[in-house]
Amino acid sequence: MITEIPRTETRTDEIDLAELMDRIRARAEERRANSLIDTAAILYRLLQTNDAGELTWPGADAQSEFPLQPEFVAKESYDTADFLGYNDRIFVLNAYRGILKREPDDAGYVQFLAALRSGRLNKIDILAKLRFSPEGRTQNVSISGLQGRARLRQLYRVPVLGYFAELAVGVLRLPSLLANHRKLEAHAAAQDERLAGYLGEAMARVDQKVSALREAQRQIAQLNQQQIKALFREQRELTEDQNRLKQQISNFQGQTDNQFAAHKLADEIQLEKRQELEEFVANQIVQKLQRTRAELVLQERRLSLLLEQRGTDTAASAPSEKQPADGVDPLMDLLYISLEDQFRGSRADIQDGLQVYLPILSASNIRDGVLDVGCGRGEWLEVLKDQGIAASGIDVNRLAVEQCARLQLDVRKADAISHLQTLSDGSLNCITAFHFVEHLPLQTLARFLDESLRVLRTGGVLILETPNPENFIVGGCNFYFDPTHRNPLPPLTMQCILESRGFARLETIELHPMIAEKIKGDDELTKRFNKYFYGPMDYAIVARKV
Amino acid sequence: MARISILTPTLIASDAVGNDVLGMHRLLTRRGHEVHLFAEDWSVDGVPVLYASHARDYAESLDDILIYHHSIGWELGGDILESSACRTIIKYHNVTPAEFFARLSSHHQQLCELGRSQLASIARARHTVYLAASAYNMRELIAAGAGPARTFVVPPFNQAESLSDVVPDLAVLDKYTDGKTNLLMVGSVRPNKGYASLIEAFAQYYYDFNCHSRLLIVGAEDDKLDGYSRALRELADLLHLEGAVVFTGEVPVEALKAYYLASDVFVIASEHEGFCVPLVEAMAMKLPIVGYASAAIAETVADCGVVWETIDPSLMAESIDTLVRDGETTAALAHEGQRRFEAVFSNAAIENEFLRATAAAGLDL
Repeated sequence: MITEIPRTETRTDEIDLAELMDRIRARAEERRANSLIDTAAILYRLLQTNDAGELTWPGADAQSEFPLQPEFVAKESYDTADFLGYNDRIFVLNAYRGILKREPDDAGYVQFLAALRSGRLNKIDILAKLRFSPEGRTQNVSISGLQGRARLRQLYRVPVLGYFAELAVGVLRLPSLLANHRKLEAHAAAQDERLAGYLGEAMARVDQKVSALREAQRQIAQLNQQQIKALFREQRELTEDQNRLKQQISNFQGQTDNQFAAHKLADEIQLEKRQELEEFVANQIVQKLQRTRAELVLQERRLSLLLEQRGTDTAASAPSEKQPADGVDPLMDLLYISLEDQFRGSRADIQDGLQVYLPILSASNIRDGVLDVGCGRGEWLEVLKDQGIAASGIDVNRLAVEQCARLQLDVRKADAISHLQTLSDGSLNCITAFHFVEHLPLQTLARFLDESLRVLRTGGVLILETPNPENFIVGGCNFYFDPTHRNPLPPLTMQCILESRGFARLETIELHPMIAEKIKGDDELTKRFNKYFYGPMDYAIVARKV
Repeated sequence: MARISILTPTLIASDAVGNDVLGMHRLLTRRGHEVHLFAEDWSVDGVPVLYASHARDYAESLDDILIYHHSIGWELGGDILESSACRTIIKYHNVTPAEFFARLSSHHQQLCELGRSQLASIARARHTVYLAASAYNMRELIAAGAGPARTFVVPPFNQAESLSDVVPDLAVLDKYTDGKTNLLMVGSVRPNKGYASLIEAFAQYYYDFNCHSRLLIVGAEDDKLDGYSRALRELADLLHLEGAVVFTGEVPVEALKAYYLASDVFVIASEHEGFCVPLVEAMAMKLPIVGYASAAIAETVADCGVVWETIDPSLMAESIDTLVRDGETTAALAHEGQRRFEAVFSNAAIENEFLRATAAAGLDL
């Protein structure tokens, strides 16, 4: 047997209803204990429970209607007078309720009420119509006196006779009508009295209601006031909480910042240390590498010397072609001096340009032991002499050597490699060669560098200056002003050769840009054009023996 | 196949009894029976209805079946039932105790008194089978004399399922989805529905927890009970809740759906319910329920709502606040509600119960 609505199977994994309700109950109790405003109590004071256990409040009582007509009591049999005591709307309603035992249908109600109000039908007519309708007959309610009176009403409707019949009955009923009139007067007076009494009562009720409402208003005002106070208090507490929280956050932030700074510092120190260590290790490795390379070059040179020696020994035993004593044509010397005069500029200009090298020497604390290879007219040796730096020079051009001798410069006529070969290892602090290397074939250049490396002390400096072919005008034209120039040497090539021969700590210095010729403008094309056409005409490489 | 008459005093498509009658009509017609509807007053589309007194002609033989819906006093219905010579099914929706209408409407009071006295005679009349909308109703039937062996619980057929297909009234939805918390009660404005207690509980919630809230009361108001309607409005005014308590009156189903959608919690303080169809609608619409456990409410809601045994506005307010703020709990309750709806109150589930109960009484429907 199905005895109740089935409960769905409880799924405790989803919600524990008992636990939820316990939680709600506990919270409600806590709220009741701690709440600043007892809304429940205020509501309780406003709303009261009456004797029947119902919730009531001022204004809850529906105003009872003033009973102008006595209450109709439904029963099985009536006297016609039971209905005639009612008037208008109530009469029609009671006629339906009493005779048909139901509420009037809308059409019937409206129709009968209209007929009654217009006088077309009187109350007897309506009672008769309802009672003797098919539905009325089915209900078969007994109404004594109705039938006779209805018949009389029917008689009145007979032409002519009806009129006289109504007149006669009227005359006969005159005393009774007068009595009725007196009754009506007394009733009206009684009704007036009742009405006055009712109005008095109603006024008293209204007064009562007004004072109840005033009281309610006062309670609500109190509720509102308490609520506002509580809100202010809550707000103040919230603000305090917020401030406390802000302070905590800022403290925490301070701590965090300090920690962060400390961490950062530690990181920086660590990084610095690491960089130092890396640099140290790298330097060690580089130095070791450079030393190894220098050693290698030295060995290579020694080997080639031995091979040369062997070749010379072999040649000595064979007949040889007659060579001029120094292998240089004196006419060529003159030609070269002329070319230099033509293209290298005045002595003063050249000396101005050479000032750039003095800081390099002073930085390496070089006060002597300087050899200028290919010293030409001795401009550099003169600059050094002015600075009190002991220096000597060599050149293969006899005229130039003589010119230097006139200036009392320590210059001798010698081939660079041969001269270097006469010097002992590590005997020089600095070797300079301005516009020299571009005259040498690659192999000779290599030998020159190898010898230079050998004769320089550790830490000694080699300074080479040469035309810069990265300037297209120099590379494509000016380089060839001097027919004794062999190969233009781009800076990268030169660096590469120097490194390969064992020099280190290379430094490239760009010299003599064609500033005056540069085209004005900042656009990319102009910049590039200026770079390639009017860039540095020469460059120097400072290399060191390590 | 049987000839079946369904008899009810009033047949309105939108009310609880009307939906139950139409649900039975649908089921029995589908199963091949000849089904006729009888009422004294009706307003339904699509199905023919005959004036109640004609039901007598359809209830003369033992081959016929008469289903009588008892929810109010009705002399004509009582007479037809009494004079019928066929097999009879009583569907008991419960009759509101007349005391609720004392001093408010003698009309309702009389009808309810009549309904109650008819209940006793109907229960004692040994009808073929008694179907109670709830266990609460069943207990009343048995106490009034119905044989326990022929009394069963069958929930009423309802429109909750079809709500999902209804396009909600967008104007209503727009109006009430304004950021305020909406508490919803659906039910005609009658004194047994406990609206005064509901407004009291709402006042507590409004003043203690959330003055950014409103109570929506969706239900028809009866001219004959205008004193009650007026008093409720006075109560709302007295508590300074004017504007926060909204009486919508009777609304079409589209608007009803919009109210369900716009609301956060379904609240009920009803003092007497034989079943309460809106609770089922709330379950179908995934709305959590908070209420008092009077009459059949607790058994209808079961585990998918917070239902208190005692009338306590602070508990009610606290529950509403908990559900409004705790999305997880609300979702769990809503989910539980929907599960319950599908398992117990969907029309398919009710059809099964109806057929099981009638079969148990020897009726092959």
